[in-house]
Amino acid sequence: MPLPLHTPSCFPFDMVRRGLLAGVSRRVLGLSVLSGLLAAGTAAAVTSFEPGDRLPDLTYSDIEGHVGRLSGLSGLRGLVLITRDTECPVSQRYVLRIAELAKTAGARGFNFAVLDVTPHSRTEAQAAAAMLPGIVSLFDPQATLAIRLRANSTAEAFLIDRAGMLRYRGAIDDQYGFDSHRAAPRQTWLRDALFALDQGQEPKVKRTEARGCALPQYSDSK
Amino acid sequence: MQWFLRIILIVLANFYAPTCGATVQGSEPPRPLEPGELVANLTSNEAGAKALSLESLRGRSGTVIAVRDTSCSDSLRLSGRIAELAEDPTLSGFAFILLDVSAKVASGFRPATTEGSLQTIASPTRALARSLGATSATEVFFIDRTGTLRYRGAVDSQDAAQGPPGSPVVNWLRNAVTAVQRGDEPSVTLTDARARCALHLQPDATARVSEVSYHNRVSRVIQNKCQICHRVGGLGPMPLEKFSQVFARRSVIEYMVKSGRMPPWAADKKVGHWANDRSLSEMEKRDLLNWIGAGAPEGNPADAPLVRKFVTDWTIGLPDHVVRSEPVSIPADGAIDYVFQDLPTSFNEDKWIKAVEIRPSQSQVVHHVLAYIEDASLPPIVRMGVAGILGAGGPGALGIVFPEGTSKRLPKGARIRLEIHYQPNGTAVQDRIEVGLRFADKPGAEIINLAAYSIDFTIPPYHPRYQVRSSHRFERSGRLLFLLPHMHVRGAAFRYDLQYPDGKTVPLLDVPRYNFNWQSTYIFKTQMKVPAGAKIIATAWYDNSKANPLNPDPSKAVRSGGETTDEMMIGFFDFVEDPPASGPAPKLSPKSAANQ
Repeated sequence: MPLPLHTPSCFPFDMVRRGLLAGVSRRVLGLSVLSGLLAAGTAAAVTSFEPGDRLPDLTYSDIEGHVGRLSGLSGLRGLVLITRDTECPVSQRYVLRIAELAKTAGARGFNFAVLDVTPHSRTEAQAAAAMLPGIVSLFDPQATLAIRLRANSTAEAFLIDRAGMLRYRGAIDDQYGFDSHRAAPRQTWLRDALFALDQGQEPKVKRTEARGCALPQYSDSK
Repeated sequence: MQWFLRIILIVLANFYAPTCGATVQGSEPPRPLEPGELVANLTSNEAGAKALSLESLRGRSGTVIAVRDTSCSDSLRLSGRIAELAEDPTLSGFAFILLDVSAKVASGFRPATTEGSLQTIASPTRALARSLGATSATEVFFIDRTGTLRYRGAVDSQDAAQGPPGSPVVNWLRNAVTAVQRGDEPSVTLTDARARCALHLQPDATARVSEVSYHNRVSRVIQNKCQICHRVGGLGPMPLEKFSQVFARRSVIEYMVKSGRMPPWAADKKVGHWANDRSLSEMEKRDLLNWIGAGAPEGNPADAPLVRKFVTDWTIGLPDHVVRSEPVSIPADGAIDYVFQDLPTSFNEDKWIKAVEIRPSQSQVVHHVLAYIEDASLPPIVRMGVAGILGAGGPGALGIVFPEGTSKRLPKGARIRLEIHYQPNGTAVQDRIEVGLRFADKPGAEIINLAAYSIDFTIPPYHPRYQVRSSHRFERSGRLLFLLPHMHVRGAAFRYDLQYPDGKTVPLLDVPRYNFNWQSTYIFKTQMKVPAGAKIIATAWYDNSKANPLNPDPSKAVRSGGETTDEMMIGFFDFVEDPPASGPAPKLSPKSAANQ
């Protein structure tokens, strides 16, 4: 369900069309075509980060205004970063689960952080962060960091090891989704991935689809 | 080669960039303005006279435009009623305009005249009437001060020739004007004025915005169809009260609207007309989706509608009596089975209820509530809990005011049973339900809640589409007021049909995608007449397969029962029997109420 955030811009093609119709010189025309091809090529190059990829060490800003890099948030074993939108019912329902996982996994060297993409103020973000004490809350009101992570959904988990490699990506579990609400989860993918890594093993399931809400969009991209 | 390359590139550029900066323009035939739309500034250009802008004639609080044709006596009569409204000092902020479409143009033609507080625009070409999409020379249009059409249709119910003879007259136009004057929403925004002096004009598109933006169009759609839940203090998440919020949520809005999940209204549009229909019209849906596709332009804030105010207190008015539930603790997560509470009443006589409203204290965790009347004196079908609904509460569900002259009986000593579906939302809270009741001065015609139901079925394991059917036969003629299909988590679809004594069957309601989490009442726009001997047939379909995301266990055979893991097959309906030819109506007998 969640729509990808990044789609190729139509700008180069529109410029080409107008250039052609206006009888622009060949040189300008050629540059237009080239830029269009480059843009399309660039857009096609990075569509998603998948397990096994090394994530860029992105810069974040937290709810207190402190700036840092994702690597600085990692625990001894790794970092779990989960997208959060406090206005999304799925995000709301996972608050206790995140707190519980952070407590148990934190004792094993995995730090947790939530990426707050809610369209709200810093003050509101701080109030929301109080529901998850002890968990770092990154303030991303324009979803800039979420876009750079190629996140697709709220309640989407990125399990990143100490070396910066993505080891699991997707839903926390299958209890809550946009269209579903179970009494208890049947599949506990994030928990299982954490346990596997703790045991020095590869997660059996490395990739699932997070079925939270579509992320808020702040730019003109579709 | 150059020209060949040029042509190829032109084709490619047009193919790949069809929506770059696209202007939203409809390509289908123009259709009449809908309430809630911004009315463009219309100009009258008649008989070579100086152009007259409607905006120049606007009242500071709003404008009423009434079509008039001097060749139609009903139109002339209604013009007098408009003149009376124009003279009403409490409505002095509104401009009242007669749009004269009479065929003859008198000598010394004047495009506009004023008599007292009433203005007349002469439009023999009927251009303005065409722009508005006027359907008759008795139709009125009420436009508020922001230019939003707030009401169109008949002046009142008598002129629309609606309602049974002898029904009280409802002054739709006056009610709409005074509601807006108070800052409220008109309860009726559209009626049919075609009963008298019909015009047969092909509407054009000049009255509507040509380039859809948030402020000139989308804001109004969101106000009318979304904000009742999606606002600060509303039942739903993600407030949609400002451009920045709607812009940020456009992706999820697009998904929810395209998939039909929002607004939550499951009835097939091809069957039935409902007074509480909260679905998007085809035009609203098209404009909203096209706006998103065009990059969601904000537009000019000066085109914005009035900010909509929502009633935070009782929508039925101050109750005569409030019954309260015991507090219920809802955890932060997990799923909760239905909660049942029996609320005693202490009246020393039967009470006749003309309005009921159910209000949770924590509406954000309440998915829906059904309130039943339970009493030993009621027919078995009601005592079983398979009928006897007093009211329902849920997303967007306001209080219910029963039609004038009707009421529901609450027997002396009866209990009100609440059936509450809670859904945790991440925060543990405690909820308490209030049931507000307003009593009728005199009983009037009794509304009975009955049902076509079945308790004798077993859904096999893994069955993707199991059908159960039941019916109820009407011993006496009467009117259906509302329908409420009820199943549990395996419910997939539901349908009501009415079979006449001659065997002819007409569909009443079709819910092709039933959702346990979004149960709705369906209130007939026009009460459905039912002859004696007719049958209401309810058909339910269940999905007990793995494909049903709400199915707790597809491997189980499922029977009828009260737990959420059981199933139910109940087609509730409210019914008012016609009075007998002579003498008072007999009380409803257990036999006539039994499922047949």
